[in-house]
Amino acid sequence: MEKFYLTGTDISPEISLEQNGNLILKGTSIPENSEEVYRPVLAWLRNYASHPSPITTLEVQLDYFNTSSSKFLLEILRIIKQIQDSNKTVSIKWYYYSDDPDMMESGQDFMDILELNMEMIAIPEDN
Amino acid sequence: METENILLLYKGQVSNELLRSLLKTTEQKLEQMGEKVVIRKKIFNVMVESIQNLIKHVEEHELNANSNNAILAICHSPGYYLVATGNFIPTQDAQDLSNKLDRINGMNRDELREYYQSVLENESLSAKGGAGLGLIDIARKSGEKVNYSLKPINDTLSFFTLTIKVNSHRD
Repeated sequence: MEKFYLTGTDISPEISLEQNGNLILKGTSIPENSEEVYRPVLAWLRNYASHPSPITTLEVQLDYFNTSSSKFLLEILRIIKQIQDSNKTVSIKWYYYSDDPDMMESGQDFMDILELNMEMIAIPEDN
Repeated sequence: METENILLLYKGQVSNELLRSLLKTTEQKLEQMGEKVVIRKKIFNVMVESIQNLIKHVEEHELNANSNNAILAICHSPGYYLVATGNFIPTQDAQDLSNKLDRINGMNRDELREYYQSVLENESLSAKGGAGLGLIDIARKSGEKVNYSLKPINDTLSFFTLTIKVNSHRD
C-alpha cells in the first residue's frame, strides 16, 4: 500500500501513514472542513486495518485541535482499536506539553469513550 | 486602578482566511506579553470554535450578505482575559441556543466532561452541525460560566453575544 503523507500547515497537521505500522499525526488541526482533511486518512486506515502490520504504532502529537477535528480523531482511534481487538500489537502514544492539562484531558476523553489504552507522554513545557 | 487593555478588536465579515490572520495576530501579541502556551490555546479555542460555528451557521442558513458580520474582541485585565464575540443568528434558533447554554452553565466540571464525551461519541461523522460540541468545549476549557445575550433585531434575526473569561494565573 502506498505511503500516505500530508504536509502540515498552520491549520492542518502533518500526517504520515506507512504500511509498516508507523502512523504519525503532528501539529495543529483546526480546518473548518475537517472532513476534507480526514476523509482520505480514514480511507487509508480502513484499508490498512484489513491487513495491518504485526505491530502498529500511532503517535499523536497535536498542539491544538478544534471540535470539528475531534470527531475524526475519535474515528481514527476507533479503527486503531479494531486492529488491537484483532490480536495485533498496537501502541498509541499521546503527547502533550506538561503545562497543557487541556490536551492531556482531550486524550483522556478518547480513552474514556473508546475504553482504549494510550500511553500519555508529557513533553517538557516549551516556555 | 483597574487597567483594561484591548488586544484585538475586529468588526466585519468573517471567513476562515480572516480567522487564520486573527489567530496569527493574537498569537504574536500574546507571545510578546510572554503569555503561557496553555492560556494562548484557551483563547484560540474560543476564537476558533465561535468563528467556525458562525461560518457554518451562515452557510447552512444562507443568511443574507450582511449577516456574517461579526465582532470579536479580546481584552486583557490583570489576571484574566475576556474573549467576546457577537454575531447574528436566525431568531428561530435563539431559544435552542439559549437552552443549550443554560444547560452548559448548570453543569460542573465532571458533568461537562461527561456531556462532552457523550455528544462527541454520539454525533455521526456525516452531520455537519457541531451539535454544540464547540460551546461545551469552550465552557470546559475556560472553566468559567459562559456569559451570553440574545437580542431580537427583527422577525428573522437576533444578535448573539458570547463573553468568555480565561484566567491567566499570573500578573
